[in-house]
Amino acid sequence: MTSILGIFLAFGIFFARSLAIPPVIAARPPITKNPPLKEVVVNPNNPIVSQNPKLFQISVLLQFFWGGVLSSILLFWNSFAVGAQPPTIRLFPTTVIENVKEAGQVARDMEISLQDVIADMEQQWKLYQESKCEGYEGDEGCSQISQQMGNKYLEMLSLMDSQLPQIEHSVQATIDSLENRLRQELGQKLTARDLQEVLVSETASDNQLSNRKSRRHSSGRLSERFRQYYNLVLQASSHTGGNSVALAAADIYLDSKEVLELIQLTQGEINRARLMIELRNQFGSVTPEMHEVVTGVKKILLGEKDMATAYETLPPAGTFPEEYQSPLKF
Amino acid sequence: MLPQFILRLSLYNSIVISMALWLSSCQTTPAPPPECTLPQTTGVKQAFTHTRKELSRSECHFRFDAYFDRLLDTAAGDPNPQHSEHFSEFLIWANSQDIITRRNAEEYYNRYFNAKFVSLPNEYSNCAYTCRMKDEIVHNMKEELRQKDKGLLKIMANKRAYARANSLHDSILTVLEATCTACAISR
Repeated sequence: MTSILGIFLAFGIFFARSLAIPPVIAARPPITKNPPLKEVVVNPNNPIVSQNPKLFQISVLLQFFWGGVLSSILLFWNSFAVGAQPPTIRLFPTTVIENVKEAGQVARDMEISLQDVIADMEQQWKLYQESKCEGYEGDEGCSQISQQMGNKYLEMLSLMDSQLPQIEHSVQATIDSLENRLRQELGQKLTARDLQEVLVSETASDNQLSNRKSRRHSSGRLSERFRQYYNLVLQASSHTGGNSVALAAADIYLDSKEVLELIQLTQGEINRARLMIELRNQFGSVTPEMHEVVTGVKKILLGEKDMATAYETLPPAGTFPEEYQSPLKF
Repeated sequence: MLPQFILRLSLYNSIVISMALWLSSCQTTPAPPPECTLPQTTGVKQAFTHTRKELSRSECHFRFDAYFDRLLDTAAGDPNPQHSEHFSEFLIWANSQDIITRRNAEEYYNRYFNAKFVSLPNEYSNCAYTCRMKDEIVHNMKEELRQKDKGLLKIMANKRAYARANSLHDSILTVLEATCTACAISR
């Protein structure tokens, strides 16, 4: 504080000097070596100095003082103006955006690699059912189909086992970085009422706040979900599209936690299934559990095809007559 | 002579005492105060007029909540966007008459006729306070949303404002859930 006042006092002196330079310079006596003690060399033409030197000195000091005061006032005025603005929330630094992008990319790679394997398994399962092989595992043809399905199933488990940790790592990194930001920016800096003001101010357009439906529990491919998150983050960060930064962060954080739980459950199922196969050595038999695991993998990774539109449109603002504004309203 | 005098004196005394006793028993008992009646009319303007008249008496101040609820029910029977103005003027009047405080007046108004929520605390940070009271706050917000349904939708017939309140309610709960989950991890 002292240094700031000092700086502005210096500005004040500068302003004062710009006003007071001519008389000051004119009043300074010429520097001479061993100046005479008795004489004071003063410009006799300067009316201010000649008439009352003490008054002149006081006026110079006053100019310095008021210059500093004016500069300080300007500084405080700016600080009040800054203080009146809503708090700036930084929820999406570059690391979070990169983590979301990476998680989407890794999920996409895994989907591509698994798609063929799962398609083959589905075909074989269909053939198994159409051939009415259930209960007739002893039949040579049925035994062959079962063995092929078992091999494909192991192949799928191995693929997932090798790639799920990468997705898990990316999703965990996204969660960790968002968690810190949410805790610091929304949890420790704001009250609940402040949070409401942030949400209202960020979605200033009436349509966007009214139209928002929860993106949580949305179905779809995992990679598609992360791609949507990435677009959401970009829109929210650039304040386009009327999306709230805080809401986008909350959606992505909670969804990612759910995804992480599902991935961890799937990893557990994979380990259990592999252990059962190794223990029983039943490469040729198709158990209902195998089918359930495949169905679960499809649900998590590939999702459902149809997605409801997230936004509806309302009549644009200004369609309705102006509402009454009560003095009691917030 | 003397006994007659004493007799008369005692007679006079007894008459005076009797009259005094009779007069004291005839003191006027104050009439019971008129009851604070709620407006029975279906007309909104008449209901407000009746309510102001009743609340002008200090003995009716304690029934302010009952009067306010009755006004809400009456206005819900005749939806009109201008009702928020009537309620605002009524609450400002009630504050000027020292029936309710300014803060109470703001709370009454904003609960029913503003999309924003008054149930949210504003004293301490979310991690320190709001998240510890989360269940209570969620319950209060749900209750307040019901009140906004009555005010914005049933009384003012303003679907857009109610949709905004509904969406804000969902958004706040989502963000609170995420924030409180993040706060809990740090503990």
